Amino acid sequence: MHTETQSKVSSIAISTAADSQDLTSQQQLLNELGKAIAQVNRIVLGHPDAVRLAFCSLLAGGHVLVEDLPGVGKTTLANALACTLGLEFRRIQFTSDLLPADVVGISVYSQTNERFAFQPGPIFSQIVLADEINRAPPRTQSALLEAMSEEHITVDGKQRELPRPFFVIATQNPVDLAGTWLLPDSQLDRFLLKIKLGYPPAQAERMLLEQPDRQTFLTSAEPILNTDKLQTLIQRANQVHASGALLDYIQALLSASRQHAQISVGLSPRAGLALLRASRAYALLHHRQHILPEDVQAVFVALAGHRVKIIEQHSEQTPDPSQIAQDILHATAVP
Amino acid sequence: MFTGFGIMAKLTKRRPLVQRSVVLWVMATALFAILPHLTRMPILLSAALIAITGWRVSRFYRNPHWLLRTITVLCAVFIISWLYEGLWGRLPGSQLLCCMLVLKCLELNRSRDAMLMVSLSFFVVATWFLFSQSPLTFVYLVTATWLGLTTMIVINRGGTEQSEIRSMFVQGARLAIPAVPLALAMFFLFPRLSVPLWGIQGGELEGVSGLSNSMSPGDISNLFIDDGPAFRVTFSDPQPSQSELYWRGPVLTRFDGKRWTQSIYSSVVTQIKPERENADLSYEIELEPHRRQWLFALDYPAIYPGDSRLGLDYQLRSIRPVSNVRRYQISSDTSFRDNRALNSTLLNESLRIPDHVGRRARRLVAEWQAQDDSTNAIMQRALHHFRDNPFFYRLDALPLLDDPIDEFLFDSKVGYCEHYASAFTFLMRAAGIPARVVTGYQGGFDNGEYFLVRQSDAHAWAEVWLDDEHGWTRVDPTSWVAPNRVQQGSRAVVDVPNWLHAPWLVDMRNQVDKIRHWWNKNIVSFNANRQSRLLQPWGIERVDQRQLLLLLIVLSVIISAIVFWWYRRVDHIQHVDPVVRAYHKLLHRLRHAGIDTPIHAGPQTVMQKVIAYCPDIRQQVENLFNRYIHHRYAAPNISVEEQPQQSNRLALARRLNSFKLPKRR
Repeated sequence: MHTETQSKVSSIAISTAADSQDLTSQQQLLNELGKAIAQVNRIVLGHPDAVRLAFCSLLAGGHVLVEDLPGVGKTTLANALACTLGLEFRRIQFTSDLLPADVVGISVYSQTNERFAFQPGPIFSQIVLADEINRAPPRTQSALLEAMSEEHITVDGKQRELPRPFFVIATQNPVDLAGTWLLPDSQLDRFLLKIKLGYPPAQAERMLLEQPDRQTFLTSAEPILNTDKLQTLIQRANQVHASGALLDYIQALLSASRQHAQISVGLSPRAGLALLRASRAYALLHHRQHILPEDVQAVFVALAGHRVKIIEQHSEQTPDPSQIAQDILHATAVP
Repeated sequence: MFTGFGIMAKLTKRRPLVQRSVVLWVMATALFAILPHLTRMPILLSAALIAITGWRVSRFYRNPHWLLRTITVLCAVFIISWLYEGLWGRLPGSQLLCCMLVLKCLELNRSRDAMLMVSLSFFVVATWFLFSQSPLTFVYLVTATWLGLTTMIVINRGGTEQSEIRSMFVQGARLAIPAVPLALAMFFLFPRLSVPLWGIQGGELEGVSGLSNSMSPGDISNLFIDDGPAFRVTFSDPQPSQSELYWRGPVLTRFDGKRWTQSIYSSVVTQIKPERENADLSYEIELEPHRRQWLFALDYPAIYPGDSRLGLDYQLRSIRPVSNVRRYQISSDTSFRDNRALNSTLLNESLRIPDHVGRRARRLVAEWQAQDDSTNAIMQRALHHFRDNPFFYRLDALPLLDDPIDEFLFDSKVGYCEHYASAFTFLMRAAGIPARVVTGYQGGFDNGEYFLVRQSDAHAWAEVWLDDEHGWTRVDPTSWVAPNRVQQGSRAVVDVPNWLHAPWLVDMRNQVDKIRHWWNKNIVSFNANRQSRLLQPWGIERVDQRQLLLLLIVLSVIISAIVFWWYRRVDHIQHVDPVVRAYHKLLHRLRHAGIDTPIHAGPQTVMQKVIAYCPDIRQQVENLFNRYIHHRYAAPNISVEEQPQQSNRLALARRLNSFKLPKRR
């Protein structure tokens, strides 16, 4: 029912596009995107929303922070994305003794060439899984985060471009906090969305137990998209229309976050831009050429949860930022 | 300087030509503005103006050459100045303005011209105020202003579609309403002149019906058809009976065989007046403008307005012609006798009859005299002559050609009050008894709180000099022929086969006259004197004009501030897209119907909820909401023109407004 109406809306929207040739190719691309999402969902069972948000972040050119317990499928998600998209994938396990050079790479003296040669680190990959990012010392963290925001790194005074698309899935463990360095608020902002996976629903978990190992799915998974197609989709997402009414709505959400009683620092203008970007990508995921308030709402909690600073309340339990983001959403009228 | 002109010219040239619908609106406004003036114009001139208007709106219209336009304008100026012997005065002035307004349409090309024409229309509409201040004029002014404002909106929008006319008028009204408090403030507080500027001129008598200063057969019967009000009377004492209500007007002494005219002595101010103390009947008269000097009163006025004089014949005259509704207080001394000895001049005048008329009448009088010579006997014989012979009181009397006295007395025997008064007076004079004709009004209609005297109540009677004791005595020969005329009013006698006098229509006219009376009493008569006593209820005895002006300025500033604030508010409301307003109303209705639509629910969420509520009309709901979503969130379609988009928007708003949830089983 839902998708039916959505496709109707999109058909109205798309009919306004000038070039019909362009139209069919776009439709094909979107169909392939749909297939890719379906495949990732077959591998990562029981987290369709998280998968959609991950794709959304990917299309918006942003990075994802997955905060969850070990063993709920963070790595599988990253792997599945990489396989399905036909992208290069590396994993970096962050530890307390990890150095920046271990991430970005190092110049090594080559005896044969009699000069230093740059050995690229694991970050030179299209999809990077930064596992347990909060275990690494701040220096290493910031090396990664800088690379994420700049999309290039500078080693030995030389600037080196990172591959495109460049997509980081970082994970952090919220429970086991001993010996960790929490990411500073300013750097959390580098992640477009913060996703929580949680335990899969019972039925999905049952299926997980029943089916063969995930690894077999991963190896048998075929790449559905490729770098070019993904780039085109990212470009398309950027062109999704945001009407005046919708911008009003986003602005209202931003103001509401700044006026909320439990928030000391609300959403920044940059967060607003990120919200718009993510909403665009989310709209495209639903084959739409324009953003609806529902798109904004779908990404808002994941986007605002790690960007607002909650006022510490010593007497009571500190409220959950996601819950507060949800409150803001509920208190703001759709114009 | 020259470059400035160049830019101006370019700007003017670049302005787009006005659409046909704009032309229609502007021409309608102009036509409506000149409509009342057309009734006062020579018929050929008004026909020409209508023809030009018609030509302008026809599809064959082409702009005439500039030379032709110039010649037309000059012709108009020439015709008006020839018709009215100059351009000075309100009649030629206003008619020239009408002509110019209509002729301007020959160069109605750009929106600037259209705006100019509408502004000029406002001015023309206002000039009608110089001619009439009746409630109908007020309604007309309001309507014309409304139409003008609406046209201005249309001009600014560059045209209208058929479907938008209603909303245009609504917008026009919204523009006009904030002006109402300011207009009220101006009405009450703008310092008034004690004499209206346009009241000074008294020469223009056209179109005003009423008595004149002469009388010939047929004059008064013409008035009978006129149902318009002459004046209204409010008695403060118990009112006299109908047959005593003889409202004295011009007294006619001279007779040339056909016409009765006033004596030159009638304007001499009398020295002997009824004593103020003897006044036993007081009343207030509200006189409709007749542009003559005379005021009407019952015999004989003892207390009367300061700016009026009582003549030798006891006719009351105002110093200035009555050109506006005039209210005045009068007290009459009903027992006063005008028995001052006649001097030889007046005696001669009251006896003189021309030799060439009434030979048979003279013979008849001679016969009477031979039998009994006394004044009383002659009078009785004359009155009995009318009663005993087959005389008829009818409106449709034949015109009397050569000898109005003999022809009436012996041949036709059919006539109206002026025939009887004229013949009776002639008979008296033939017998050597001083007599004269008095014109005025007789009776009136009791319209609730006041007495309404219409033009059709115009009457003529005779006055006879009896002797030194009685003096001039009123004799009404009509009352011998048709007693009902005097006892019940003119309508009782004359049976006019005229649908205009259908009872329900007469009743309606009486009701309308009540409105006019209220209007005259409260609006038109609000003069400088009443204005100065404006603040009496608040304990301030008098306000002078400077204080009034100050008060007006202060009040205007306050009102303007409120209006400004109101406009901003309305502006804010108006900026909301009608579709959005309709959508939010729909949400409200849905909530009312029990569908949970919280404020944060997006349109798609709402749609799903509505479909879940009534799956039967799923198609309709989807259609409606998708259209809304598309309108509100999708990229605007560049290829579609702006105008249809506006009508699409209104259509969508209407669809949202008319969406009804089915009853849930």
